[in-house]
Amino acid sequence: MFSLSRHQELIGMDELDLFRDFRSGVAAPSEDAQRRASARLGRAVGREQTPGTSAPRLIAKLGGYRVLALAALAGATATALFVSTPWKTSASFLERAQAALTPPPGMILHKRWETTMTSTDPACTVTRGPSEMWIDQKPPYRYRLLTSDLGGTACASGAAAEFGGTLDQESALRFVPPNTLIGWRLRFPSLRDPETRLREAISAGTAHDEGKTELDGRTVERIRIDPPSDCPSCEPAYVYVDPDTFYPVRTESAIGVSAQAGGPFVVRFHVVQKILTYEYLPRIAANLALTDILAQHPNATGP
Amino acid sequence: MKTDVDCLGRSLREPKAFELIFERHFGSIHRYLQRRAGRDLADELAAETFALAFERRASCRASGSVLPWLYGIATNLLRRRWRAERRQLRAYARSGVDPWVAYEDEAAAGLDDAALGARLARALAAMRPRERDALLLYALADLSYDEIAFALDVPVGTIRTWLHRARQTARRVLAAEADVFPLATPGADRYG
Repeated sequence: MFSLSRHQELIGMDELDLFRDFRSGVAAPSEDAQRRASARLGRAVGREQTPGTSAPRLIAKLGGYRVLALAALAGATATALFVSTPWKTSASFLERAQAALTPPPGMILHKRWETTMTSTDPACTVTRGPSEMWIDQKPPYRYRLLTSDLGGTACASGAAAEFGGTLDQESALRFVPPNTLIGWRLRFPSLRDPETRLREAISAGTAHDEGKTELDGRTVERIRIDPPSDCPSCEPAYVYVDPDTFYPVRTESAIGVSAQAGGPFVVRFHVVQKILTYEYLPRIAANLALTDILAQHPNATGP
Repeated sequence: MKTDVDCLGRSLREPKAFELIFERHFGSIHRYLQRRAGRDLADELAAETFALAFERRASCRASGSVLPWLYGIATNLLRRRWRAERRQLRAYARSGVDPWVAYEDEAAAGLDDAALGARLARALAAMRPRERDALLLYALADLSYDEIAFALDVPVGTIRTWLHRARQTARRVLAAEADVFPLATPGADRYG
């Protein structure tokens, strides 16, 4: 019901002007929204300033997933039932994917994700994370990883832990509260050269764009990745990406764990990774510090 | 101070110059999108608007502010989501609860008359998409008829036609429920 005062105000007004009221209640954009939009524009600007560069970043997601799986299943040999490299479908899809995933030079990859692993034998479902990492995209590719799953087992999450290092070295630093850094062996092999991995994947021709679908209320593009041809028991993996940015939203896959390298799988998992954040941050001092475990713990004692 | 067109021209040689356009107009574009599509979608579409604008900047024919051009890009992006917008408008019309105003803002924001908001939402939902676009560029973005024509890349005569139809739709929808309040008619003063 209109109030009288409101009613009087409206008399004689052009109907179109009534809709100006719709402006009320609209808040200014959040700093986070502005920062993300600025970063996205910065990537476009960067691509134009440095033409000819190319590097996909979806592989980074898959690499992160594998790292998590390995961390979660410490002590066993985890073998992916699919290989994350195949990456090809129609020319238009590849063109769009390559264009969208051309790496922004001088940026920092920031990813935050959560993984749910379901096993049938033993029967259990464990959600691990969220985990978070930052990787400087300039050599030596300094990174920092926050995981909640160090020492986890098949049916139990592990402990929270923080690691840092560079991708060109197998040794890393682990922060041990309250204030110590210790040496640790941790590798990110799948992040070493994502460009090469994508080139190999495209030429393999085993990734297929399955079109748009709805996922958690949003439209995403579903991509199927065939399992390796020499693995009849392996299953295809699915990657859901943002149809505009091609950034990963979710992956679904299966992994098997064997007691020893090359041995039969003793445990099989269905793995769903939900990517909560996937973005490139400008390479400014504050963001660089996020990649640097020493900068995060300047007074820590250690090696 | 560099004009928008100066920045645009310079950005063809120095791409970073486009960032000034972003700084100047991101807030306006985001608010427009937020009003039409909600905050979450506005975050996404506002970013996409500027990324697209950057890609297409060489074809921009603006002679003054580039804001109408940016509104045009944003409106075109919104068109892909018009079903979502219409769904929200209908929900607003039914409930009188503004679905675009975030919970934390409710106390200080929103239309000061829920019934009016619901009726306006119903009128918007009843309009054709193009007419709604033109109307909201006028009412939310404060664009002139010429600027709306530029934004939507149609003759200004077409904009006049669309706004005329939008006005008729608004009048019809609002009047249909105004049995206790005949809007903007001579009979209305009996309530005043």
